[in-house]
Amino acid sequence: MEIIECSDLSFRYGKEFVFDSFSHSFSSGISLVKGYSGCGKSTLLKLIAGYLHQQKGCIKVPAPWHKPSKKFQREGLGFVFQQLNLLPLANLVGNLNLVASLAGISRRQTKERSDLLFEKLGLTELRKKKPGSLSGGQQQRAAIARALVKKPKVLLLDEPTSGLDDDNTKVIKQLLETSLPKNCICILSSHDHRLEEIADEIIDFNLRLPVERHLKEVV
Amino acid sequence: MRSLILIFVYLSKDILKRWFETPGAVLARILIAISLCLLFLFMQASFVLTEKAVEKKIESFGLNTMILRSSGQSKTEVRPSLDQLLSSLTKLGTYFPFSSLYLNAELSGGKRAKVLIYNDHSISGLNSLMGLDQMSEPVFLAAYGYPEAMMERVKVLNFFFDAEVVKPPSVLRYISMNDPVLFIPQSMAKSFESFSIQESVLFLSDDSVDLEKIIETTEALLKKEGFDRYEISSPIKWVGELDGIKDIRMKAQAIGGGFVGLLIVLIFGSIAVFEYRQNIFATALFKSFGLHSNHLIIRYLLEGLILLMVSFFCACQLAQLFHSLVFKKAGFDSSLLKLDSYNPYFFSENSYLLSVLGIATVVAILPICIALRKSVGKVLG
Repeated sequence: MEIIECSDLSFRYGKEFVFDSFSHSFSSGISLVKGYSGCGKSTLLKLIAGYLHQQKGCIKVPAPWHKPSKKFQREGLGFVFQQLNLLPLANLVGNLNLVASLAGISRRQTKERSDLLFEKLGLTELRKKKPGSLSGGQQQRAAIARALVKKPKVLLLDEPTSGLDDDNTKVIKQLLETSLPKNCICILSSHDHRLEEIADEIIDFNLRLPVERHLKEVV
Repeated sequence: MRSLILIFVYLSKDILKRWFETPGAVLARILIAISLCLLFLFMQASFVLTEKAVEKKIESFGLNTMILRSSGQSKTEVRPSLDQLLSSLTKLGTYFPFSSLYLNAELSGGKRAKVLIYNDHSISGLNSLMGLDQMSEPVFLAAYGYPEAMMERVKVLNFFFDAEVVKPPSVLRYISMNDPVLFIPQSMAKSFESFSIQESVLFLSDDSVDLEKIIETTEALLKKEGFDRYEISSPIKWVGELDGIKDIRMKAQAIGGGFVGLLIVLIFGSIAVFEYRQNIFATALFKSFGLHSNHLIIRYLLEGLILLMVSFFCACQLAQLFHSLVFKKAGFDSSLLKLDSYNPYFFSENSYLLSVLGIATVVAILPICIALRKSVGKVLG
C-alpha cells in the first residue's frame, strides 16, 4: 500500500509557525484537509509536492521517489492550484501534452488519456481553446485533467472547487470518485463541505490551531 | 526529447508574443545594442586603419632607410657639416648628403619644385638612388608627369637652369612629398649661399647593417658635436609607433568592451527582469511540472542572444555602409579604405566584441537565475 508519511513537520513564514511538529500518514484514497484560511492546508500540500521546504521534519513519498523531488514532480505528482493552473499560450491539448511528455508518457497514450478525460469533464469541444477564452469552472476542470493525464501516484488539489457552482463541483466530484488511478493518494485541501462526502479521511486543521487563534477564526 | 521540443516551442511562442506585444522594448534593446556595437566597430576599425597606414608607410619607405634633417649652420656656429660628420656611412650603404634651399624653383607650367643642392660627396649616392652609373646632366629635375629625358627650363630667383627630367625614386617622396625636385650641384649654386638651407642626409643601409645601432650612434654623435635642432626619420621609429598603437588598441578594446558590456548588462538585464516579473506565474507553473530552472533560463539567454546577434549583424552592415564616408572624413588615405582587401567588420575579425556580447548576455540574466530559485510554493497560490 502506498503512503505519504509526514513526520514532525514544522513550517513557518517569517517568524510565525503555520504548523509545528505535524505528523500524519496519508494512504491511498481521498483525504480531505479542511480548516480556516491560513491554517496551513495549502502549505501542507506544497510541502508534500516539494514546492516549499520544511524547516523541520521529513516527508516520505511513495517509491521509487521516496522524497519530493523534480523527478517526483514530473512523473508521480499531479497538482491543482487554486488558480493560474494552465499555460496561457498553449491550448488545452497542448497543456496536457506538455505535462505528459515531461512524465515520459508516449504520444499515443497521452492522446487516449486526454480524450477520455476531456470527455468525462465535458471539455471535448474546448480542447483546442486557449485558457484565456475559458470560464473559471472550465479552467479548473482542465487543470484537473492536466493533473490526471499522467496517472499520478499522488494527486494534490488545493481548493479545487473554490468559487465553482454546483454543476462544476459535481463534475469534479464524479471524476475523483470514478477516475482516480489505482492506489492513488489524493489529498484535497478545502473548506468546501460539498467535498466531504467523497473523502475517505478528513483531517481538520482547525483542531490544530492554538486556542486563541481558533477563537479568533470562529469570531 | 519530445518534452524539450514542446517546451522550446512554448517558450519561443512566449518570446514572440512579448515581442509583438511590446515592440518598443525590443526595438529599444536592438537600437541601443546597434549603436554600441557600431561605436565599438568604428573605434576598432580606426585603430586597424592607423596600423595599416603606418605599415604601408614602413613598407614604402623601406625598413633600411634613414633621413636626417638639421637646420643649416649659422655664421656664428662652429661645428662640422653633416656631410663631413657622417661621411663614414658611405661604407655601410647608400649615403646621399644634400642641402635643401628654403626657396622654390619655378617650372615652365607655373608649378613649383623643391631645390636640393648636392656636392661631390653626394654623387655616388645620388647615382645609386637614381639607378644610374652617372647622371648625364649636372642639373636635373625629378618629377612625375613629365616626359623623361626632356629638358625643362627652371627658374630659381633670377637664375635659369636647364634641367633634364628624370623619374624620381620612391624614397624621394619622404623628402619632397611628391612635389618635383630640382637637383643642382654645389658648384652651380654659389649664388644661393646667402640663403637659409636645411642640411640633410638620406641613408639606405645595406641589409647586413643594423640601422637601429646606426641611428643611436648618429644621435650620440650629433649631440656631442652640438647639433641641437635635428630630426631623424626612420621606419625603426615607426615600428615602435606601430607597437604603441597596438598597445593602445588593446587597452581601448578592453575599456570599450567593458563599457559596451556594462551598458548591455544594465539595459538587457533590467528589461529581462521586468519581463520575468510579468511572466512569473507561467514560469513557476513550468517549475511545478518538475522542469528544471536551467530550461527556463535558456529562454532568457536565447532571447538576449538573438537580439544581440541581430544587433551585431546590423551594426556590421551599417559599419560597412558608412565605412568610407566616416574614415574619409577622418582623413584616412582612400587606398586604405577598400573593404575588398581587408574587412574589419567580418565576424572573424570581431571575436572580442562577440565574446563581450556573449558574456553580457549571460551576466544580464543573472538576476533571473537568482529569482528562479524562489520556491514555486511562494509564487503560486
